Amino acid sequence: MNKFKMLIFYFSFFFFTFNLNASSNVKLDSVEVDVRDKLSLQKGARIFFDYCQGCHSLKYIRYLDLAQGIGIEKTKEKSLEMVIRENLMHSIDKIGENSPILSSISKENGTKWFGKVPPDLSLVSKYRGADWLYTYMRGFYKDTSRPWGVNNLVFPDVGMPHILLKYQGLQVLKDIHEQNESVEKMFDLSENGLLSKTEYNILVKDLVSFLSYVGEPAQIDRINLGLFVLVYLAILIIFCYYLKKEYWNDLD
Amino acid sequence: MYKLLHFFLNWVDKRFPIKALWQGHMSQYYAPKNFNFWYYFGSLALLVFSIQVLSGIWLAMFYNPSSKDAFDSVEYIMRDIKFGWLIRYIHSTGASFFFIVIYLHIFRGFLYGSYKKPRELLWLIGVIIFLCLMAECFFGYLLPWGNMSFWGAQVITSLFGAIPVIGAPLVELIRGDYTVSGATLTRFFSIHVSAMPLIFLILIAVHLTALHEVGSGNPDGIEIKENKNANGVPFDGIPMHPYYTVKDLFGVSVFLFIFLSVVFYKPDFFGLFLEAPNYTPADPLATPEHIAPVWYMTPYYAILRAVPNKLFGILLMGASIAVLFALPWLDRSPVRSIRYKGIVSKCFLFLFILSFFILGYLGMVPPSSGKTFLAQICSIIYFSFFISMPIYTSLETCENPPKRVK
Repeated sequence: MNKFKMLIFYFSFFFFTFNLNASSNVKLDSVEVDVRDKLSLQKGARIFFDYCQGCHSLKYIRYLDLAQGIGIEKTKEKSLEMVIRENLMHSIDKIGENSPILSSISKENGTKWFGKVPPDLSLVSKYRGADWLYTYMRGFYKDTSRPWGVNNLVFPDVGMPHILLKYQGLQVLKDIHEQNESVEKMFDLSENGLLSKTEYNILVKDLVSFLSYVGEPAQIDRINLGLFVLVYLAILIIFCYYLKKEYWNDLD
Repeated sequence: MYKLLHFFLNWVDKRFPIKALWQGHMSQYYAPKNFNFWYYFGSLALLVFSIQVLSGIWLAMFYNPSSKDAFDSVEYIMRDIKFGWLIRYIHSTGASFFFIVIYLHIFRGFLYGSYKKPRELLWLIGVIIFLCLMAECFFGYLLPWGNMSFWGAQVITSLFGAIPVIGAPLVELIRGDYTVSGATLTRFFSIHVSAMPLIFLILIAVHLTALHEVGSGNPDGIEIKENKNANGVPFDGIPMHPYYTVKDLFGVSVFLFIFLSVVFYKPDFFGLFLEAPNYTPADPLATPEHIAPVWYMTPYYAILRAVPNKLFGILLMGASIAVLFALPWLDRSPVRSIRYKGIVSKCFLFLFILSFFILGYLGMVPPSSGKTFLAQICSIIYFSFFISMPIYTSLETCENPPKRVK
C-alpha cells in the first residue's frame, strides 16, 4: 500500500511539471542553447551590439562582467575599452568598466518611433524562454498593414521592425498552413537574404545563447559548483547510512 | 580539556536545567522503534525552517523593500553579490520544499491517525503552523516585486473584499493603500522577516513540547507507553538520541542531496518554483495573461474557482483548510493507523489525495468549463472525505492492531 502511494505521488509530481509556457497559440520551435560555448556567445554578442543595442539595454549586466563572461578579456596591452571596441562596438567613447550596458535611445524617441519604449533585455530569456526568442526572431513576415511592413507570428502586432531582415530575407505567410507546425513551414521566402536558412538559424541561435547567458550569468558557476556539492553529499549519504546501521545494530 | 568541559557543564547545570532538558527531550525521550519513511519529515521541516531563516537573514542584508528598488535589488543579489545567486535560490527553492515536507508530514498524520486522542492539541497546533506557513509564503512572494508577485497579491488581498461590511476597509488595512503598492511591500517585508518568524519559533516550540508530553505515535498506532518495564521505560521505545538522531541525519543527507540538486540544476523547476512572469517588474497597467498562485496554493485556489459565487467560494476555500481543525473529532475509528482501518477508509484516503493532486493541477491552468466541472467533482470528493468520515469510520470493520510493536 505504501509503495503504491509513493509511486502515485511521484507520478503526479512529474505530471505537474509539464505545463506552463502555454501563452501563444503558435507552437514554439525548441532550441538547445549552450552557454558554455564562448564562441557562440561572442557571435551572439556581436549581433546584439550591432543590431539590438541601439534600442535595447542590458541594464543588469556591466561591461566588465560581460566581457569576462563571454571570454573577451582585457590584457596588459589592451584596455577593456579597446577590447570591446575591437570585438563588440565599433563606435564608443569612454565606457566605464562597471557601468551597465545601456541603450542610447531616449524615452521620447522610443515612444515616438515604436509606440512604446523598447524593453530592457537582461531578463528576456528568463521571462520569455529561449524557445520563444528563437521562434520569435524567425517569425517575422510581410504585412503591409503594419508600420514597419512586417508582423510577427509569435508576437502579433509587435512594435519592433524586423531588424535582421537583410540576413533572413522577407517571408510571406502561406495561405494554407497546418496548426502545430514549425514556424519555418508556415512561410515562403519572397526575397532572399544574405544568409541561407540554416545560416540564419545559427545566427539566431547565437543571439539566443547570448541572451540566455545574460539572463543568468551565474548559471555556469552554478552548474560547475553543483557537481562538487552533490558528489560530497553522495559520500555523506553513504557515511550516514552506515553510521545509522552501526548504531541500530545494538538494538537487536 | 574534557574535564574543563565537564566542569563548565556542571557549572551551567546548577544554574540552568541543561541536563534535564537534554535527557527529557533527547537521551531519555523514548520514541517507538518502528518509525518508517513518513517519520522523517518532522525533523526535515525543522531543517528547512532553519535553512529559510539563515538564507533569509543574508537576503535581507542586500534586499531593498521599496517599489522602486525591490526588483533591481533582487537582480543585484543574483549578479553582483558573491554567491548571492546561491542564497537566493536556496531561499526560493526552500519555500517550495517547506511545503513538500509539510504536506508529507501532514499526510503521515492522515495515514497513521496522528491527530487522534491524546494528540488532538498537537494536531491543532500543527494546523496553525501550516496556516502560518501559507501566510509567510504569501507575504514573501510579494517581495521580489515581479509582475506575478504584484498581481498575485492584488488578487489574494482582494478576496478579503468579498466579506460583507468590513471587507473594503479590511483590504485597505492589509494593503496600506487602495491598491497593492510600495506601502504594501514595506509592511509585507516587515511581517515576513520579523513577525512571522517569531510566531513560527513560538509555535514550533509549543508543537514540540506538546509532542514530547504525549509521546510520538507510530505506524501501528499503538501506545508504547502502555507497556513499560520496571524503570518506566517503554518496551517498544528507543531513546531519541542516539537512535533517531543518527537516523534523521541520514534523512537530512538524502534530503539535502535532492534539495540541492534542484537548487543547482533546476532552480526555477520548470517554472513552478520561480515563474517566468515574475522576471518582469511589477506593472499595475499590465496584467499577466494568466494569474495563478504558486503550486503549493493551487488546490485551494481551484476550490475557490470551482464555486460560481465569489463569497461562497472564499468561504469554501477557507473551509477546505479549517476542516483540518475538526479532523480529530471527525474520525470515530477505534484504531489509529490506516493499516488496521477498513477498506472504506483506505479508498476515501486514496480518493482524497488524488482529488488534492488534481485540484492542484487545475489551479495552475487557465479555467475552462470542462476543467471547472472536474474541479467541482474533486472539491466534492475533498469535502466528502471529511464530512462523511464520522459515518464510515464508525461503521466499517477494522482489524485489531497488535498489542506490541512487531
